[in-house]
Amino acid sequence: MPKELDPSTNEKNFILESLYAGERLDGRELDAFRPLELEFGEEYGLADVRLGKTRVIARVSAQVVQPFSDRPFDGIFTITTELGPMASPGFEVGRQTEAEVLLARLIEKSIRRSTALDTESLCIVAGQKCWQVRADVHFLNHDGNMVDAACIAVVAALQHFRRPDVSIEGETVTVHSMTERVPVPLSILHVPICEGDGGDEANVVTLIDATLQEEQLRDGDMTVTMNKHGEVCQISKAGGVPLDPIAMHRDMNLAFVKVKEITAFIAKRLKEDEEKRVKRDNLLESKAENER
Amino acid sequence: MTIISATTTLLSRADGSAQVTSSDGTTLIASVSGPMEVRPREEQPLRAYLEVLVRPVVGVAGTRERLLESQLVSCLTPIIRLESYPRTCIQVNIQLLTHSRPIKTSRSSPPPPTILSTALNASILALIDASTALRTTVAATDITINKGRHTVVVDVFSGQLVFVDSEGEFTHEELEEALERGKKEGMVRVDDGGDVMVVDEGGGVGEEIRRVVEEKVQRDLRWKDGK
Amino acid sequence: MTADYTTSFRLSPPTSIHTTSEPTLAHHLPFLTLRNSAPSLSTRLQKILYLLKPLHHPTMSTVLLPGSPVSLPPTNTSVPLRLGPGLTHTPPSTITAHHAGTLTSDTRKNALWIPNLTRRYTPLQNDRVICTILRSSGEAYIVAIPSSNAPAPTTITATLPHLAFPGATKKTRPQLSAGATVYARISLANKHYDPELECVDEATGKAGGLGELKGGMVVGVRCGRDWGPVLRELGKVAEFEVAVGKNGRIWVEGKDRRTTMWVVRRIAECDENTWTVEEMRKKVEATKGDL
Repeated sequence: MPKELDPSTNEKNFILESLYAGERLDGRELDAFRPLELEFGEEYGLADVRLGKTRVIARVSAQVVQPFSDRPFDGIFTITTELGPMASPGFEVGRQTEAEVLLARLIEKSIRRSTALDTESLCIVAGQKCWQVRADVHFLNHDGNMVDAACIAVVAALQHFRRPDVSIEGETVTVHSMTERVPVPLSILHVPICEGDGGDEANVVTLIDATLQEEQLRDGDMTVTMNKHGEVCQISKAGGVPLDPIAMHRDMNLAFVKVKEITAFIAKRLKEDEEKRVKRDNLLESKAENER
Repeated sequence: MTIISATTTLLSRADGSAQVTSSDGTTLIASVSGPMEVRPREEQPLRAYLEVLVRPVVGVAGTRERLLESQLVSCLTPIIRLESYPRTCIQVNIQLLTHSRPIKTSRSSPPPPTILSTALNASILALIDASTALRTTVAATDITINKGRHTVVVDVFSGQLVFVDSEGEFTHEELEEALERGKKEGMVRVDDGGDVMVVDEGGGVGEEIRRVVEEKVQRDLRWKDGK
Repeated sequence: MTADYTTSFRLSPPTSIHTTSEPTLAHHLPFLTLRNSAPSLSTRLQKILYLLKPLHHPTMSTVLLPGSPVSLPPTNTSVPLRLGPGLTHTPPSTITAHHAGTLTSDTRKNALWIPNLTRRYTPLQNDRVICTILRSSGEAYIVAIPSSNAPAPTTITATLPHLAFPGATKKTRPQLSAGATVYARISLANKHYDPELECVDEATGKAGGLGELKGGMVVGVRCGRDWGPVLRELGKVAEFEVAVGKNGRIWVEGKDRRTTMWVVRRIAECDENTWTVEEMRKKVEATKGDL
């Protein structure tokens, strides 16, 4: 399979020289995100995120299963991330690269292990029936910073998702269809947002939301996950250039600002989608009445 | 079945891409990469190796996807000029976005439509977008007659049958009728001189594909307008 | 008019073409075997139709789909018709499109082709490309010819012999390290082999602008566009040196880093939005203050 070609010496020197002068190739500030776009699908739980040219889709779905025997009161939440060749021909099916494993773990750590989703609320009958919520992440176009885009997509899809309502009468559990009863949203405890920084060389330049080209040239990277309350969910820094604590502190403060912005953006889009749905449903209802 | 919306050139890392929504509620993205480096065991000295990968929106690819992949390979192999790209690989990726999973149907209803037709139309658009050398353009339609469902793929110029996949109960006459209707849906209108006529009224899938390609070409060649 | 059509050569008499395809299959690829022709001449689409007159095609603006038949009024002429990218000749006289686009012709050269913008480059003899050295092996450099948008893994590997530089001997050959950018001419291209490159102008034996490109920046664009008019617009306000590779790579070196950055951004925007020269002129006016 074809490998990603490293940038030539000319490109490398020019990009680095410009970064030292505080300029990025696409005209962004060093601490600016690319334009973020978020769209929801017709169905509940489908989020389509575009971060510049990077595009990620997350789909959340739920089904009733038996809980794990050691955790009878908890539902199950899984995240699947697989880098397919659609994102870039460099990714091969069925063969995970190191970067892919790191990416999957990072998303897992950021969202699942930070208990963003209240798994206890997914329990239907203790030890017998619970909801299994799964988030499938599909990477469509790889132009750097897939972690942030994936994280935004999963978090947005989780908030957008509605599971069918259930009622319990004695031993029988009834799963009501979406039309029968208003589906219920998931109980989300907090909204973690990832924040990828790339560092470059000795006189460290810190970038936010690196493009693929910048990612190829970086000497180290750090990803911070936070929620809007400023609680740090995880920090990951796998090797690369050392960062001094003061710089790290400064980066965290910067990340906090961005996290608040992105959380607000997701909330805004969710509200818009909700309004659109209400408007359409009302329209349908009024039509039905007219027929009667 | 008709194409509700279709856009091309949406992914920057692929050579060609298309997102298609069909009237049966299926939305998917097709992308084409290639001709590119091929894995040594798949290298063919005189032609390109065609690889089709289908990914469902929930879960990992299983037998349903494998079946779809093999159907797409057999549809696309005669259409792509594989011999123009020896020792390379042409990869077609299909990512499903929304599609209603076939629900259990009663015996009296026809089998649910498959995503094959949407996947094929999207693949063709992505291949055209990637400028891969093709012998011809084809269009796929789902036709349901009584208890039978037929996916009919025809050449848009001659109406020649390229591929058909039928399911359910049907008589020979019903199949003939499906093929005839598929041909009508898939063909573009051509005048006697062999040139494609510009028709304003909405046509079938073939006409729809032509309209999308026309849009793409006009977008790509707009730089020439200034001359 | 851009020199977009592929190189072809005249064949006479017509008996030197024979085809192995079954004539009944309209869409079948004709395997043209050219007798007594040097193998180095074999490039993409050497389909020659003779007996055809300068063209006046009625449907020039119609968009052709792959497989669309192209109708031509056949008449006698001494100039053979040349078919360029996007067209296939099926003997005896069927021409079909194999990618989408509008039919374009050059009456003087009696050439016909379908221009299009692609992200992937197909090597053609005599094209000048901007490529990157991967490594040196034995007697040649192994070079990557990247296509279009940086940095897609769409690389074609080619060889650039150590001695394919003007006046190069084993001792005086230029030493290029991995990652260096080279402007080279494709001396051999064939779909069956990896292409070969050289940095010598065939006519003069001198460099003629070819060779290593030092400094500057490389920007990836789609292949198939004529960049001349756009670059001239930029040249009216900025001072820079430029090399355009047919593989969708443009090397730019401005008089300072700022100028390079400005030019690179304008080229990238122009490619992304497929701007016309007029639109580029407006953008140049609007942003020349940044210089």
